[in-house]
Parts: sequence; structure tokens; C-alpha cells
Amino acid sequence: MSAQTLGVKSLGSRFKLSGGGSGILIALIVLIAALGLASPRFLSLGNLTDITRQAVFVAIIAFGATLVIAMRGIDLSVGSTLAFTGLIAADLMNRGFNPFASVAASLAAGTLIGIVNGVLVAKVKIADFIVTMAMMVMTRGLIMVYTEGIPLTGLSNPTFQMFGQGFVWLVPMPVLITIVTFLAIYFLLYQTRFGRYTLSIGSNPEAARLVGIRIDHIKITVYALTGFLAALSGVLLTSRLEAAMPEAGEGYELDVIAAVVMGGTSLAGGKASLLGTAAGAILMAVVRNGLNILNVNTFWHQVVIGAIILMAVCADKFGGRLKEA
Amino acid sequence: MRRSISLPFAATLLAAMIVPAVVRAADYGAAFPGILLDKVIPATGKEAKPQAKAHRPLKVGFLPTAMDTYYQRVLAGVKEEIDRLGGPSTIQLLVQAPKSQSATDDQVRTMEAWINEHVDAIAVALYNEGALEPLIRRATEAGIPVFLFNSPVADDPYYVSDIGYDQSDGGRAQAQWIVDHYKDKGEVKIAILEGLPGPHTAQRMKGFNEIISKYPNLKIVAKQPAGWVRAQGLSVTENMLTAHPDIDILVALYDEMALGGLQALKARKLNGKIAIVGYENMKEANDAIKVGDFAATVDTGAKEEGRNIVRAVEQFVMKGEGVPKKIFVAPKTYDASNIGTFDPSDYIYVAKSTK
Amino acid sequence: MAKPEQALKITGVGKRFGATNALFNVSMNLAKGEVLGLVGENGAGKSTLMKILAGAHVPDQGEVEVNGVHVDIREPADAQRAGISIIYQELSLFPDLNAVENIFIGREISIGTSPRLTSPLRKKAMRDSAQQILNKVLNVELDLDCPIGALTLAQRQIVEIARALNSNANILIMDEPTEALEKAERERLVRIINDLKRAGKSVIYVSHKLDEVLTICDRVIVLRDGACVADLPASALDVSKVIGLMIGGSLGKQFPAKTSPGVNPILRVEGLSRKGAFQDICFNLHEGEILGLAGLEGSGKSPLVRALFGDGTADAGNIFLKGKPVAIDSISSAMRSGIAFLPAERKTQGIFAEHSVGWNLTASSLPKLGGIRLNQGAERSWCIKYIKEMGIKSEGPHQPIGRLSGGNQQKVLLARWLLTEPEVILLEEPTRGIDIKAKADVYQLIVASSRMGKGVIVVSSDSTELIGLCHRILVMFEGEAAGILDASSASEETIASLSIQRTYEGTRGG
Repeated sequence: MSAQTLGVKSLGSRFKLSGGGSGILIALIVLIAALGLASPRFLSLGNLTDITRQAVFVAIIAFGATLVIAMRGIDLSVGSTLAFTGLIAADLMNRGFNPFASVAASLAAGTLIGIVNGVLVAKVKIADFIVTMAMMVMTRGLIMVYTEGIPLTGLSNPTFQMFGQGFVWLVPMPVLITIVTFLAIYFLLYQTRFGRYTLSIGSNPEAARLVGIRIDHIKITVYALTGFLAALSGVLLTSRLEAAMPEAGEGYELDVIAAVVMGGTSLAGGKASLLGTAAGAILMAVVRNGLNILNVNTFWHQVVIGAIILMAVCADKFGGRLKEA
Repeated sequence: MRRSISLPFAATLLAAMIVPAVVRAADYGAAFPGILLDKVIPATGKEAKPQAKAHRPLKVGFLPTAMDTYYQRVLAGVKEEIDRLGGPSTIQLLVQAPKSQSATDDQVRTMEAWINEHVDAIAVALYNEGALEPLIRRATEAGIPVFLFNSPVADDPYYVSDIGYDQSDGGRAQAQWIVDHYKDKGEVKIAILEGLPGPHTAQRMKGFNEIISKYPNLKIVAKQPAGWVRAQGLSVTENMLTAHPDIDILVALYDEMALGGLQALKARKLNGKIAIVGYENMKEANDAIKVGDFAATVDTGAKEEGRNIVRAVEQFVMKGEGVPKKIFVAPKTYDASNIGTFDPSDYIYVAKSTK
Repeated sequence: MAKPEQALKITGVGKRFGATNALFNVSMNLAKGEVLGLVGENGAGKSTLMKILAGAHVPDQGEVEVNGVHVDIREPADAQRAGISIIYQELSLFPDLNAVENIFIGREISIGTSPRLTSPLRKKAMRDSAQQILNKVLNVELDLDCPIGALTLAQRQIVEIARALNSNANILIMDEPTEALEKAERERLVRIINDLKRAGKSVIYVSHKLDEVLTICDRVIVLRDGACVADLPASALDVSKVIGLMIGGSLGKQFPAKTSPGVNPILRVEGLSRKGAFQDICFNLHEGEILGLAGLEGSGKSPLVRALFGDGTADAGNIFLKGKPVAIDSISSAMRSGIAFLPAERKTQGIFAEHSVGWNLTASSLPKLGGIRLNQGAERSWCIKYIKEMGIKSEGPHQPIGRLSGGNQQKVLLARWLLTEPEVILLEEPTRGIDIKAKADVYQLIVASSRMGKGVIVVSSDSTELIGLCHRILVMFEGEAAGILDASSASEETIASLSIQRTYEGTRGG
């Protein structure tokens, strides 16, 4: 136990934690320890691999959503984008395109959806909630029109299957891709101008404008990045299931926001804890896994997640009152 | 309350109905091949009355609970049967699907529109007990006969006929296959992927348990909902395998979830080792049986259900004759031994010209 | 003459904000049916006094009596109960509701003796009552059904007065009521105030427009540095006397010695105009020169300085930097040309409160920290350097700026722009809301950068500051340059007369 707390500390100093970010890490470790005691199989390498593989789909999108929320924005379209782009990849593959080309097209489509969101928010100045909600229902509608509710299957290309099912050494490919994504976004957020500008916009939009930040460019880029990540998640899910499901990603928008908020990123913007977001995404997978293993009705999952969100937000409220100071 | 009031009427009507039903049992067999006559229940007397309508085309509304692989197959049966009757010039088919399984309000809107439009018959699938009852009553009072299909709970007195199969028969068929192959194999561990809670899950499980509980060596060690979808089938199976790495059989109440489970088994190289028993005989499940990934699946006769809808409409609205209150067929189990006998054209709509 | 009845009596009221004594031992009387003028410089304590009466601030010492009875005003509802109502500059009405709904907001008449929130409203009664107030008391005609948002500013102001009367207010405080009004509307307001007076209501009239104050009010109270320095009948005063009282001996603030500016113009502005904001502005800013920009709120000084920073561009005119014409069409183009801008609203437009001093310092010069990866080591060492040079009191580069005092925040923001190595520095109210010591530090920093050859423009509503700090002062009036004064020969009176007296003449002559 003490070794684990130490681990948090060194992680915390290496990676930036802000607000309730450290709270979620502690919650996660306590939960993992408790489940480890409750079921000896929980801590097996195989199960931990499963959990991370289950967490990646929400986690990847949540990394992008962390930037959106830190910028005081919101993106509800991610779940539909995931299904839509997964469908594009599957459809192109079935039409005989090279798997890399299909994946590239899918990622481009996700980016494009993000750009459209961004332009409508930043240039046309429509509320982000409305823009992305409209995009969410429109995209889902297009999927249903195109597939008539039938999944696209028969994705037997081994290269394509690598993305979601492969292993590099002991690490599952999707987990590896998620780690690389995490590091890249981490670098962007904390080490580059782009990250600074994103957080500045969330912290004080007017001040950000007056220090010469091109707010519209940054906003469009952040939404584009989120669209790209939703597509990446869509590709991984499609490859994992060897099928593009029309209903894929339904409800993801809320899971993603839950992961971000649990992780300590405030909806008021300005601060972001990417590590907290990763912990939030993993925590949700751990809760589901734990309930499955203990053979408890999984509808408790929603109750537990809701309670954790409330606790995280309360910790945020009573932990750091900087904004008012 | 309602039942007790209408008892005298019902009794009178029953007497009138039962006699012809018995007499015409053979006719039903001819009109609806494979019909399970023991499932037929008496009419309530509140249904719309048969009438032979002369105008063509007849407008028939087709309203599933969602549009997915299963209902596409039902629709294929509907279309082929309409082709047999002369195509769109005989029956004009109106198809509307709500945007998701739980969007009963979408179904309400569609029903209202069709009632106002005075269509000639409505075929609707119900998701829940009591769902749409006021609309079915309104349609019936407006003289539009309502046929139900794939509705696990048909509990309102107004519908003309309930077409499909007994959901608990599906669960029985799954259990029976397990009994046939495992009853002498010592202790057998079974994990089950259920759907969302509701009548579909409840009835399939009821049938399944009825059979399995008679064999103490067949043990259900884990049972978890996986929301009818593949992604959850995958993750829930992974998690169940962690808790119970030694399961012998994975049962899923729908092939979508079973296919997700197969992905989980494949990743652990357990495909073919743990027997997957699916439900619905989806195309992919069928293929999986051929390569040995699935042990068995249960075909519930989706396309035949579609054909029976149109046959019922033909009897009731074109010929003006009565139809049985339940038009159920028996589910059929497929495994490696008989999968070759399945006709793949059963999955798709085959246009008449090419037939 | 019988002693008039007292509506309001304030005794020894004081209020402190941290180190600043905003209000100190202020006493005053207000008779029934009297109009009292309240004047003073920005920061003299007018708004603190008003907020105390309105219940927005609780005084540290002193007593308030209304109609001879002691009242304890701790929140706005207390003030309302005491019959004190404030007509705000930024009108506090609901634009989508009509006049009747606005007048009765919060005090709706419902059916029933003890109405609940859901009781039906007596719309007719409310309408009649509103009509009565508007027609009989205020003598104005108003469209009662039109949403307030569609009315003119002057009409909205009348609705606000009617709302105050409807809440049985006997003491009305008007804060800069004529600021945004046209001449005819001002005259109507004067008539309304006279009507109120006849109806036995008391008015406290707060304004910068001294000529108006002297014509409208019976008596004038002058505040300076939180204290009451004069309480005289209006008949005994004139504009220059009031200005003299307002300024007092406050010219002795700590301003650094000026050095003479260079001869080369660093910034030249020719005929700069934007419709509705400023017209035909021309001036030169030399190397090492500090140019003041004076004028009332709404005179165009703020839009002008922001236009030079690319925040809202000009429609016509030219800007030359070091002799070369430059097109400033966005903030980033202004920054590329070497222009820096410190906004007046530090909290809402300047700082990133939850982020560190270092983060705030480098916000406008991030490209200097490296192409892709930010060099956070360099950020830290710059920050340490500036903290030392500018005397910023903080726990170090990592401390969130929101935890610093206003003066130290302002120094960080100034450092933020010095770090961009600008040619021209535009400062909007650089010392607003910071204490005396920090003010002196900020003046030192401004002069120090001018010595390095930079051109500085200071927008300020504090004339003393402009005279003490600047070489020349451009005074704006209604969007035009009313004149450029040499600071050595300028006085607060001349600045005031250029920015205020012309208003007076304009009103009269027009």
C-alpha cells in the first residue's frame, strides 16, 4: 500500500495533476486494491490487460475532450463520430481498399467532422452544445440510413485486425496506440504553445484574445483533434470487433465527459489533468470489470459511476477555490 | 376488473370461435405452414373483424421496434410474400422504424399517422408489456386490423393475431442442445450473456432454465447483461472469463452478443474450445458454425415470420377469413451436423423475377 | 424658515478594503424634497458610499438613519425596505419584459389575500398602477406593451425610476444618469427630478458633469480620498471651485522625474476614424515620450487606443510606425508591429487567475520560448529576473497569479508586455484599483521604459496622474481630439474644461 502511494507521488511530480486529479488516482488505487482482495483473479496480468483494452475506446476520445473542456467547450458528437468513422473504414475495406488507406480515410473523416464543429463554434459562433448535439444526431442518422441498422462485417484482413487485436510484445496494440496518443497529447497540452493557448482560452477568453491568441484557430484545431481521436477510437473498435456496428459509441459522449470530469478537469475551463482523465477512463472500465467478475448486476455500474462523479466534483469544489481567490 | 366484466361476452364469443377453430385447424395448417396449433389461444372478441377489401393496392404498415439484422430478415419475408401476391400493385408496404429500441414514442407517432391515413392493416412489433395498447385499440376501433410480430408480451385484447414464435421456446431450444451434448459429461459450467432486462430476456431465460434445471450437472456459474450489442458482449465475456476461466459453454441470448464473446475467446485462443451457443442464426453466426467457432445457434424463423404476416393479411383483409390468434412456428437449432441443410437465401430478399 | 425634515442622516461612516481607506468618517444629511449632488474623482469614495446605502457593502463604522430612525443596511433588501433605491448606470432591467412587468418585478400583485408563487396575477391592476406612476407622477407617455429592450435608453431609465417609486422609495440615488442621454432627454430628466422633488422625494445625484450638478442640485458634497471635503449649497459654488475641491492637494503624488523625449516620431496617427467611436484623430508619439489620453467615459479614448492595438479597427486614416505605414487589422498584426496593450480590466481581461506568475508573464511571448517545445527553464529564469527587477511580491514563479495583490498582478502584466520588447506601449488605466505604493512603482516602470526609447500612451481618467506622468495630454471629447496639452503647462482645470466644460457649453449653445 505504501509503495503504491509513493508511486502516486512520483507520478504526480512527473506528470501534472491539478484539482481533483490526485483524488481520482487514489480512488483508482483503492478500488483496484479492494477488488484484488475480493477476487484473486482480478490482479492477474490477463485481467489487467483486458481492463486496459476495454478502457481505450473511451480514453482516447477523452484525451481530446479534456482539451475541449479545458477550453470551456463541450463535444457531444464524439460517439456518433466514432460509429461513423468506423463505418467508413469498414466500408472501404469491404470495397477492397488497402487497410492503411481505409484507416487514413476514416481518420480524415473524423478530423473533418471536428473541423465542421470547430468552424460552426468559432467562426459562426453557435453554442458548442447545440452544434455538437446537432452533429451527433445527424451523423447517427446518416449511419442508420446507410446501414439500415445492419452491422458491416467480414473484416478479415489481418493487417486491419492488428490495430484492435494485435500485440507488440506483451502490450496489446490498442493499448500501445493509446499510450502513444496520451504522450502526444500530454506533450501538446503541457509543453507547447498550443496547449498554453488552449488553457488560456478556458481560463480567461478575453485576456487570451488580448494577448494575441487566435482563439478561432485554436478552437477549430481542438475540435478537429477531438474528431480525429474519435475516429481513431472508431478504427480500434471496428478492428477489435471485426465489425462496424451502427449503434457503436452510443452514450460515449457522456462516458467521455464523465472520465474528464472525474479526472479533475473543471467544466469551468482553464485547467486540465490529462493523467486524471486517463485514470477516470480506466476507473470506469475497472468498475464494470469488477462487477462482472463478482457477478453483481452490472446496472450498479451507473450508480457507482454517478457517485464517483459527484465525489470528484465535490473534492474539486472543496479542494481548490482558486478561481474565487 | 375488465376481464370479469367482459366474461359473459367472452364466453359467448369463445363458444362461437372455438368450434370453427377446431374445424378449420387443417386450413390453418395449409395457410400457415409449420404453425404450432397448440400455441393458439382463443380470441377476445374485441379484435377487428375480417373483411374482404376490394380496392388495390392495400396499404399495409410495417413497424418494427428498430431496424436491424433481424427485422431486415423479417422484412425480406414480407416482401417476398407480397411479390407472390402480385407485388406493390396488390399490397403497398409502408415501413417505418423508430430510431432506437426504446423509442416507443416514435412508434406511437407512426401508428397515429397510419390510423389517420386509414391504412388497411398494421403489423407492429412491441417491445414492452402494455406498449401501444391505446393505439392498437384506436386502430381497431377505426376498423384497421392490427397484427403483432416478434412481441414477447402480447397482452392487449385488440390485436387480431400475434405472429412469430414463443420466445421461451428459443431458450428451450438452446438448453435442449446443451442437454443433448453435455448431459453425460460430468460437471459442465455455463456462462450466460443476457440482453437488457425486459420480456425478451425474461422469457428466453425462463425457457432455458426450465430445461437446464432438470440436469444438476449443468451449472450456470455466471450471468451478466450485455445490452444486446457486440461491444458489450466482448467486454463482459472477457470479464466473466477472468472470474471463471474454466467455463465450458458460453450462451448468449442474441448472436450479436455471442459474436462479441467469440472475439474475446479468439483473443485467448479459446474459440472452438468453449462452446458458444447463440440465438437467431445471424449470417455471421452461421458462418462461425461452419468453421467451428460457434457450437450452435437457434433459428427463430425470422423470414417465415415475415411471410406469415403477409399470409395473415391475405386471409383477413383480402379473403375476409378469420386467422388464428397466435401464428407461431417452432425455432430450429443448427449446429455442425445440420448447418449444411440451411438455405442461405433465407437471409435475403430474393426478388420474384430471379426466383 | 422652518428646518426641513430629514430623510437621511449618515454619521461617521467608514469603510476599508484591505490597505485602502475607501471611505473615512463621512457624515451627511439629506432633507425631504432635496436634491443633493455627490461629486469627486474616481476612487474618491462616491461609489463606496452609494453601495453602502444600497446594501451592497456593509460599513465598518458609522450609522445610517432614515426618517430619524436608525436602520441597519446589510443587504439590498434592507435598503429597499428603508425606501432607498438606486438607479444604476448599467440599467438593471429585463429587456424581454414590458414596462409594467419590469416595474412590478419582484412585487407583483396577485389574486388572493396571501398569494402564493403560483397565484394568478392581477394584470389589469398592475397596468393601471404603472400607468398612474408614469402619467401622474413622472408625466411621461410610454408604450406599456413594448419589451423594454426595444425602448430607448432614456425611456428605460424612466421605467427604472418608476420601478423605484413603485417600491415606495423615498430616496433615489442616481449614478451618472445623463451619461448616455441626448440633450432633449437630459432636459426631460431634469424636469422629472424637479417633479420628484415636488412630490417630496429626495435625490442623491452622482455625476462627473459638474455643470449639470450645479444646475440640478440644491446642495453639493465633495468627496476626496474617501473623506468629505466640502458640503455647500450649489449657489455658493462654480465649476472651477468644485474642481479645485475635488483635486485638493493631491498633486503631490510620487511621480518620477521626466526626461525629455526624443525628436523622432515612433508612432504617427493621421486622420484615424471609426464611425460612432472617434473621428479624424491625428497625433505624433516620439521616442521616449509618454502621451496621456484624457476624456470622459464614452469620449472615444478607449476605442482609439484599442484600435491602435487592432482590437476593433479604424475605418479610415493611417498609422505610421517609425515612418513606415502599417496596416493594423488584428491584434496579432499589432503585436507583430511591436505594439503592446495593457487593458483596464485586470481581472476579466488581463490575468489567467488559476495559472502561475510565470505562465502569465510569458502569455504574449510564447514564440520566444522555442518553436515546438516550450523552454520552461527559460520561462522560469525570465520570471525570476522580472520578479526581482520589478519588485513583485510573490512566492515565486509557480504561485498562481490570482493569489497576488492587485498591484503585483499589474506589475506581472506590465512585465508580460515588456517581455515582447515593444516599440509602443498602450496602457489603459494602469493604476486603477491598486494601492499608493504600487502606483508609484508602476509609474517608475512606465518612465523607465520610456527612457529606453519606447513610446507610451496612457489612457487614464485620473488627471493628476496624466499631468504628473505624461509629457503631453490629448484630451478627447465626443470622439474628437479636443486639444493636445503640454503637461508642464496643463492643469486639471484645463483638462476638465476640455473634457467637461465643453459639454456644458454644448448643452447651452445647442
